[in-house]
Amino acid sequence: MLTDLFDDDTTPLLRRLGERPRGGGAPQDEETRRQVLAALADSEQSPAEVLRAAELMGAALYQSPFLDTVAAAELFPLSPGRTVALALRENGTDNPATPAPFVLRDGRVTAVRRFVAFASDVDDLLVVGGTTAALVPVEQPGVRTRRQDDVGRGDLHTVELQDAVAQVRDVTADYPAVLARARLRHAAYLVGAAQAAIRLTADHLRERKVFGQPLAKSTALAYRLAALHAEAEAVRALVGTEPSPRTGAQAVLLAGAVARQSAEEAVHLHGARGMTEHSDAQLFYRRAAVDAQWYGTATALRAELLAALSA
Amino acid sequence: MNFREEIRAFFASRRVQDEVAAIRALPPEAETGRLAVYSWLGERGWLAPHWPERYGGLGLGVAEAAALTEEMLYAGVPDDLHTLSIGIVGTFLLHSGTEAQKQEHLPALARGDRMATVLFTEPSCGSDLAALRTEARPDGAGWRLHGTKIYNQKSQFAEMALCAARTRDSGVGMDGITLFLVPLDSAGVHVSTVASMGNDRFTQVVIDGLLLTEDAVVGAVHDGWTLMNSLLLLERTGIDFHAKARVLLDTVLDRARATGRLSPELAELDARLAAAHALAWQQVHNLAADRPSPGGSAMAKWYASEHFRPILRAAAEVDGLDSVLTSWDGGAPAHGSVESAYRTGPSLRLASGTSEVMLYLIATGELGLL
Repeated sequence: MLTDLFDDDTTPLLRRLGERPRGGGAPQDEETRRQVLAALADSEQSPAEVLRAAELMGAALYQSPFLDTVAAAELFPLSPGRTVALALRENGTDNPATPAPFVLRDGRVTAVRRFVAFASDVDDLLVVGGTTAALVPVEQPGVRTRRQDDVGRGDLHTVELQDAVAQVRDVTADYPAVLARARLRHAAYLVGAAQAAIRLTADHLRERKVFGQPLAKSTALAYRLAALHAEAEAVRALVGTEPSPRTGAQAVLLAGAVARQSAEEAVHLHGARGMTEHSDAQLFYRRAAVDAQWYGTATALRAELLAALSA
Repeated sequence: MNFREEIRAFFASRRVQDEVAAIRALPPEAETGRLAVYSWLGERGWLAPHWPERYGGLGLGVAEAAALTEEMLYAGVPDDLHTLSIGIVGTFLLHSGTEAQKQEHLPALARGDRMATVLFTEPSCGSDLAALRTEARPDGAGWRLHGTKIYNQKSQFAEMALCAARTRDSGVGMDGITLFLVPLDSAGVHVSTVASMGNDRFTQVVIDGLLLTEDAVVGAVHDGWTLMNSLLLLERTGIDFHAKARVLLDTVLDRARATGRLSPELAELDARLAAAHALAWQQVHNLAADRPSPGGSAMAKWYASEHFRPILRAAAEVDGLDSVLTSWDGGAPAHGSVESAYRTGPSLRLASGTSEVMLYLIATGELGLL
């Protein structure tokens, strides 16, 4: 069972996987991370099961090309075991709904893509530009990757493509729906992260005594966490509805907000210890900065939804 | 046509739309009571579609009942008396009434021939129902009731009410509460109204020595607290609160489109109501599967009702000072419905369990806090 990978014992361990030392180098526990990814890739899953897996990955802050590969497989047939990273942005402020065009000459791709997760680990990059998508094998002379250094200590890369060999196709008809499903899966991941941060914090409030009684007895604190939990549950319910470009944008907008707020509260309610390496609260906080706007800033998503409302 | 399409067609019919137009044209502070549309729904068995046919329903599920409430509100028909009568009192009778009580009351409630309201809160107790003081003392073979109930609604339009009274004082507030069916038109029951900022008034019901027989007791004597906690849950899905918020937001969105004032904030509120809708329907599906979720229903009610205030704030941005004009004023946008929603607004975070009670239920039930 897929969910066995993310039980209560392994989840805290998975949260610590894959953190790289600044300046690169493979993480020490690279092999464990690969094993989890292989197990994920091997299992046949319905869309609902993938959403559930995404939630569990979020709770474990598990980083991998799994969800990107699921999205890419909806645009290009992939041979079993191949992994893909989505390359949708030229700049940090780009909205993946409207990716910047790339240069296509004689079927070869020239482009710069930044914030590409696991670019150096995967087999292919899925570069989307305008209404065209290109599946670009990483192992070729026209592809150069450079690791970026980010607050989430993740695996982000700048990728430079110079006349890279690629499979290319027009995705005008299917990109909006593929993006919508990818956003819903990411929203599920964010909801999982938000609720895990809330539960971690609730555990802390039960343990930590202040002025002679557990912090959990404080209505002011309990109600803040209860409100965040309800926000997360509402987004979770939305994630489970029929996918559409509108639902995808709505869900990832609200999920980003609740993931970030839950992480902020997690650090705050853990007190100073929440800011130290000992605490998982800071892991949620670090990851939220990256993951909350992974499929567009709140401003970009609201603008996208506003355009749909105006139509 | 499926059930939802049928009820949608009914609400779109000329006579219903005429009634809705008449309701919209009412001056501020005018209150609706027994509407003709309730009787028309009752004739079809649609007021309580989820009740068994022998009790006046259609034997359908809770999803159909939720769809009815939703479509009623979307169409602009007030649901309050329907919710009290069918959703709460009817539900209590259906689950805990005697067969005689069911046969006597449910078919009449389902037809809309009889209406029922709820007498729980008192001048000194609202959320804390364990502190209620209305007394029911044994008297011969029955019970004699004394007390004052207030902040209930629509009692001036109803024949009967479900009343919580203390039948035993054991020192533990939650123990010794019993539910009674009270005829509102009997001597010894005085119904008066208390003006409210909203269009709907509150009612005060003074019960002064009313004598009831054992037949008036709903559920077990002294066990009303358990009943209230388990059965109020069945009505708390967030469906009605979401629909009210959605109707208001759609009005504001229409105004914003008409005036070129659509904003990113409105787009986000639209997204948030989509989430509220999904969460409310999740509760309905939980009920349909016989798995009511106390935490889930508290979250659905809290989340939906919390959106009324930000929508009203957004409405003020869309129409500026025009948003404060009442239905009495010919210049009011949307027939003054934004102004009237502003006055009704606070009730959504208070009714059917306050926001704080909902957060308490979530904090304790879902997160193990407090």
